[in-house]
Amino acid sequence: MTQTTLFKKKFVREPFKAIKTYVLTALLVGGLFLFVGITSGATIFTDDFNSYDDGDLIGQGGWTDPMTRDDKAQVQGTTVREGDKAVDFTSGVPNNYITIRKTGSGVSDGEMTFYVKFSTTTDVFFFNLNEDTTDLRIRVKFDDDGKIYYEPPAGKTYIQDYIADVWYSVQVEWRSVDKNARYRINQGTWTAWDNIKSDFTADIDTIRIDAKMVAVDSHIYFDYVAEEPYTLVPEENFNAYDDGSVVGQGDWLAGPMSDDWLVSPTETYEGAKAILCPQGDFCGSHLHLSDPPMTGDWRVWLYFSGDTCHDQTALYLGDYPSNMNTITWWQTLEDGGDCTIYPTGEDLVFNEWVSTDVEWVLSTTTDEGKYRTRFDEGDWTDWIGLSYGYATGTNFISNAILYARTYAPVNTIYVDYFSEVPDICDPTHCYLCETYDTCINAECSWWYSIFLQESYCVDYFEAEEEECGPFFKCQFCNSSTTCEAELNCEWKNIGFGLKCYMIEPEIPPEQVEWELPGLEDCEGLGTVETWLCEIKNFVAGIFRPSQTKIESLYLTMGTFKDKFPFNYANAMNEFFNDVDESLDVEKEIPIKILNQTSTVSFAFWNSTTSIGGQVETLKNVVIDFTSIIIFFGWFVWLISLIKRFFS
Amino acid sequence: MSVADTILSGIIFTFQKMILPILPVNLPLISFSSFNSTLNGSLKHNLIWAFAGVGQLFNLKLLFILLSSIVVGEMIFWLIKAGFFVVKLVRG
Repeated sequence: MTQTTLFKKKFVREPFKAIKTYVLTALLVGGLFLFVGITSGATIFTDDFNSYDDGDLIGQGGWTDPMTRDDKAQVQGTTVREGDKAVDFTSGVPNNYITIRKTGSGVSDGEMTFYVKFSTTTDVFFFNLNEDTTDLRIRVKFDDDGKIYYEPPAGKTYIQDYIADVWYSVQVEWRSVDKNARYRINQGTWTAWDNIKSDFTADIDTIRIDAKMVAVDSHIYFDYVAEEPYTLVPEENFNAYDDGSVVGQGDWLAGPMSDDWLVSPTETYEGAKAILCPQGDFCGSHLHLSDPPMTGDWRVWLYFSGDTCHDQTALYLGDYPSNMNTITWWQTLEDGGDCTIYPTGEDLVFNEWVSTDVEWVLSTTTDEGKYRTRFDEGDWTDWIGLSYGYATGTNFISNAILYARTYAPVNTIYVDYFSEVPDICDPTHCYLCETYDTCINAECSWWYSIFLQESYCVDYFEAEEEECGPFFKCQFCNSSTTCEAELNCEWKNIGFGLKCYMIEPEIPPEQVEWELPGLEDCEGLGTVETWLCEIKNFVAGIFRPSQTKIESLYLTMGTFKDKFPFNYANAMNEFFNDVDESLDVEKEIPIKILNQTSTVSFAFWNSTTSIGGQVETLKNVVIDFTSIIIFFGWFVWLISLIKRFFS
Repeated sequence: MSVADTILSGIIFTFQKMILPILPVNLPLISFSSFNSTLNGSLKHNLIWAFAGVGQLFNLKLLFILLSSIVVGEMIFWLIKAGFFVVKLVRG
């Protein structure tokens, strides 16, 4: 072998082979984690259909037709809820079914939203959430009686009515702790948590839709599948507008007053520009909403310079030019020099930016609706009822009408940054709850790390009764008896049923488990024994640590549990222990034939046979046989390893 | 203050001021919550249910022990080989 060849072998091929092996091994291990799916996301998948070609949906974006129906769902751009494309279910043959299905990432605690619109209420629409692609777990049904239902284990439960030619958003949220789900239509009130059609074992990973087209050439439109509803409330910050009148820029239109609001960089809340009504004017402009949601929330920032106000400075949501004040977002009321904001009743704040929020719900079955407002992130008002022209098909919140009277002595009024109301501490955003009181009032749970001495709000969890204790452990007590027996705990109902809560949300005193053994008791001993005992105690006392130091060491050592690598090692240990325990549990092999699910019957497993005079069950014989094969295979590998090692 | 208290104070000071502050809670590439939820959430469930029923035919514990020994054995083998290679490289 030449020097060059030797060089290449030593410095090129062999290192490359070693590196290749290590890289492949790392990729294999890393890929294993990714392959089995990460359930940190809270929804199965998101699909807005906007990138699809017109025509058959099947074959695009992972959508399939497991039933190979004659009619296929179609992608089209004529009737959409969001973006450019939506799905249309239609058939020229009565009582034909159309089916679509798509599988995404498995989620054990999640939420799905979709939008649907019907041309008639005589069709039937099933929205199914499945496990392992085919196993039905959750179902929402738009039935041919004009009603929306969800399906518990038996029968169906009514949610609300629906009508034709109106988009409905449907939200389904499920949780693994009790395998329950809840439902919401058009961001109205959630139904109560209830049992689902069939409990899932691990997670939900598939959407399947079955549409029965009873009426010939009727249509069911389906759009925007995601975790959260799509919002059509515009975000408006004026930053890209030219200075001067806001009318004609964006969707701002003239009226109802002759003076327009003006874009200016003088005073802004966010970015470079805001709009203002200068002193001496009575400004009135309106922002047109092309497709306002039936349910939504909105925030805007206000700045009143000076110290006085006029009446009739307001922001409404309504129609134009009539019925403009369907919703009074905010309005100034001036009474002898005092300025308050209607409907919250709060005092107006001058010379600083303050927020005002509005939230509304309009019924999709009647003319009724409600709204509430909030000023400067204070308390929301109670819900205020409203009537609008739903029955006539008109939506009376198609504009935001902005008025301001700045006649002397009122100074300039500025408005900036329309946006969605930010998430707040609520059951779906527990991490935003900063105190114990706001946390439990949002139906969340309070978590306390004894070693890190930290406490914070987490999603609601059911704790084990054996963890019942004082202070933060009050929430683990499941009966009034065990609750009241603990320090600083009380059994009460704050709106979520009788539960155990801390009386005072205090951080508990440090609690340790290491106790210092006591010194020897020298009482009752003879004289010499007493002297020896006391000398022994004296010497021991010199080298004896105090309880305080022991507790401090305990807490310090405990802190390691939450640090790398110990926390990762504990998680690995828990994983292997659980897998080890599960291997001892006998499980069944599920099978499905012609839509009928069952399990493989191993009834013959317990039949016994005699081998060499020894009676054994068939199961043990088979397992012993396969064990021999496995061990033989392992032994072959061992021989090859030894040969490779010495070669 | 006893001798033991003095020694313990030194140990506690060393842990609290020198060791604990430099130990991270999360790794840069994968946070602990992601690691835990993947390992004890999806991976554990998928592993358990992937092998559900297979336990009727195989001794799963023996199978996993032997598979693990193969993986560890190969890793040690290649580590030793790599070590010999580096030694040869250095010595020439």
